[in-house]
Amino acid sequence: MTTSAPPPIYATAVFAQNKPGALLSIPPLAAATTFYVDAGRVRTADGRELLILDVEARARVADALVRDLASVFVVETGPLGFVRDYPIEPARSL
Amino acid sequence: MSEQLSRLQAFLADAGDLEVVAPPADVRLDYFARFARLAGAALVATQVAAVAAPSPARAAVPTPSVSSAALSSENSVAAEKTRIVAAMRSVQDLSARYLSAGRSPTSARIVMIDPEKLPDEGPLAFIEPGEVCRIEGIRTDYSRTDPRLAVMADTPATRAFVLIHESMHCRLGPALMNHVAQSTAPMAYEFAVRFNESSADAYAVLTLARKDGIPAALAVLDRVTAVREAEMLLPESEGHHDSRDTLRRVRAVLEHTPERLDSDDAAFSLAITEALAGASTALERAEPKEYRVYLQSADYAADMQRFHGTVEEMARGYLEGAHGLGAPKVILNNLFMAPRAPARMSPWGLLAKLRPAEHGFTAATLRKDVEEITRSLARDVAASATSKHAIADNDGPAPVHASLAGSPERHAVSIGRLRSRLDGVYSGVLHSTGASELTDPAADHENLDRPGL
Repeated sequence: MTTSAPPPIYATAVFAQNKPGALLSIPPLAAATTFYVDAGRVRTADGRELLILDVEARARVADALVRDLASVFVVETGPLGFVRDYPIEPARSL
Repeated sequence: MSEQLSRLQAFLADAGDLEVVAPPADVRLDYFARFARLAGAALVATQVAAVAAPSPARAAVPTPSVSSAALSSENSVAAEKTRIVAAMRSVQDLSARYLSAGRSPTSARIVMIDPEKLPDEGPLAFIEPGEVCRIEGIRTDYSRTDPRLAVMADTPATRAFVLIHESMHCRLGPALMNHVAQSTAPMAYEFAVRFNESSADAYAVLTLARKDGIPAALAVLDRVTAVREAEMLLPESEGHHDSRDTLRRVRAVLEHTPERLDSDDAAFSLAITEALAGASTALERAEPKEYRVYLQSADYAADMQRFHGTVEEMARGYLEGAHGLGAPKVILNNLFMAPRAPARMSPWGLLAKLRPAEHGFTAATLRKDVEEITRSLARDVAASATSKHAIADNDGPAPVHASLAGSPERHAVSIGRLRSRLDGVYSGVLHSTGASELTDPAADHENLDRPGL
């Protein structure tokens, strides 16, 4: 019997010319969630990792998360545009 | 607005150029780049503002906080009126939010049913002369009458679903029913009723997805699916509301190919095509005994192909304006027929419902009516050619069928309902059709603010 990690959520990283921080756009999710940040990684409450495939963009987002968590936004985007935003918080202590 | 949304708006305000780093297309479609490319952060900011603003549909409906038993009789009446006014306002808001998009040949007028007067009535859609889609039964409290419908009316999203479902009947129902009345295909009616309900369910969910986002639409889809599954278990169910296959197809669109839902027209077209496929599957699964041989014949395949083509043509006509769907070509005021109506409507029975019968009718007179309708449809084709521009612009005078021109009476045709029992349609006709219902001085709720008038 094997176990597998939950599938990642692939994000589009969006950087604004005039503003610090980043906007992470994800496809529609089946259920609302909160994203938690831990050691530069962003995960849902049930462990799905929000993945930025581009190495440089990932590093820039990690930097923004360290500098000011409130400057990073996770938004759900559908074919028609913005759908909703999700909370992003520091990882909960166990 | 939440603090986070405020920060997001601040982030987008004067953001300058956006640098978008999207995952490869084979990993997933990048929706953000697709729409942000058009207008950059300004467009996103506009959308965020639209979502952040308290929408009418999400506004809480005021409800009495004190039980009526504790109030004096006078206060009870006042509280009930307040509740009805609040409910009407809620429906008005829902209507403004969900029925305003896209072209519609009808202007919606929504009437609340008084549960005390019509305790067994569910939502109904009527077309009235003057291109008015009258929707009855959108109310906030079904708990006293029908627990199943209460499930469909306990949130703004599900009330919106009911409203959009009924409005879909107004958009395509008359053309569909006219087609069935003329069709000689043995299962035309059986297919049409399933398609009628399936397309209304599909259009409602897809409209919600466009207005409120895919997660909200999926939540409503789950509830509707549960309601439809429960309906199918009822002993009196005839399968006409079996939209389960269509709902599965709509779910697949929302979850896997939501990019297909990129315009109001696309939502309407998708509702048609998915419901055609879903209703066909439901019909074949139902396999009514009397049609078993026919269902396996080449004739059935050919009939269905023709039917699908016709329905797609109707839908194109709706979108392109080359039709008169909002102009009622039929009259539903057959009180003579109603009390003895069979539980199942054949095309003949349907035709009977569509014709006024001052002195009753026989099969022979119905055949005569068919000939009259055929002739009147030919006149309509000619009339629609001359009024095509007015319809397409949607701002000209409403096309009026010759048989209704100058008629002093208010007639309406019932074309769809959320309820499952067809016999209820007839009692609904008795209660809901004609001038008396519209001007009943005892119907206090009718004198309150009425949206769309």
